[in-house]
Amino acid sequence: MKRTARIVSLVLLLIVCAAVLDGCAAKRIPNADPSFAPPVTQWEQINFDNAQVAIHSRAAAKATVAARQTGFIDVHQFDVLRRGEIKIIRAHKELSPYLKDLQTALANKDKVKPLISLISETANNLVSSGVVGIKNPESQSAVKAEIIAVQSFANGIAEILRTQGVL
Amino acid sequence: MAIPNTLFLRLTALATALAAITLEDIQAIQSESALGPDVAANIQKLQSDSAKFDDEAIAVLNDQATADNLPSV
Repeated sequence: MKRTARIVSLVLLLIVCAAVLDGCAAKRIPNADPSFAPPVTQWEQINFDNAQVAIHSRAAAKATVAARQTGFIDVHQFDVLRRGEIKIIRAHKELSPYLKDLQTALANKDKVKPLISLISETANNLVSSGVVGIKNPESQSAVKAEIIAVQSFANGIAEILRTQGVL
Repeated sequence: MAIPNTLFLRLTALATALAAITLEDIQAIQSESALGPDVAANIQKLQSDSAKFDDEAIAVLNDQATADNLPSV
């Protein structure tokens, strides 16, 4: 049973990693003239990475609830995880509108940096806590992979914002 | 939702839920990564979808918290 659980958790982790790697770059769909496909702009990429933070936060939330509903996490541990995840999601909700264009990001640079740091640090704390008390390895790997993806995309946004002079 | 009472049923329910979540992830990423020719419209869509995903995540967590009689945060 333990070996099967390890294999299943490894497969799930690989699927999420593949999804993350495949989704690192946004792609322009050519219009009627297929030769006209201008490159993706920096702000499209930032907003795509920002949407990925939300996609993986939602997946982490759903995986946490699945762990709770199948009895692999108790109420107290669920509450600890829920609070951490909601902290990330609320910071992200506040951050998103500041990322709609360069002018808005520059005008709010004093708010952007702490919000990205809060997302990254909270994600890091959840991951280093071993995703607080989830007993089942598949479930723990799934939640962990999603939170790592959240942190990775938040860091990716910060990298691009540095090149734009926002951070 | 009532917790299934055997380990096999619990593991099956969990595996099904995790597979559905992974599939939903992949579909959302593919949908968001396909950008059209209008840059402003793309950014507006990404902003709006991002807010929608955040709201769904909070709702999922708080629905379960309500079922567990936990206070809202």
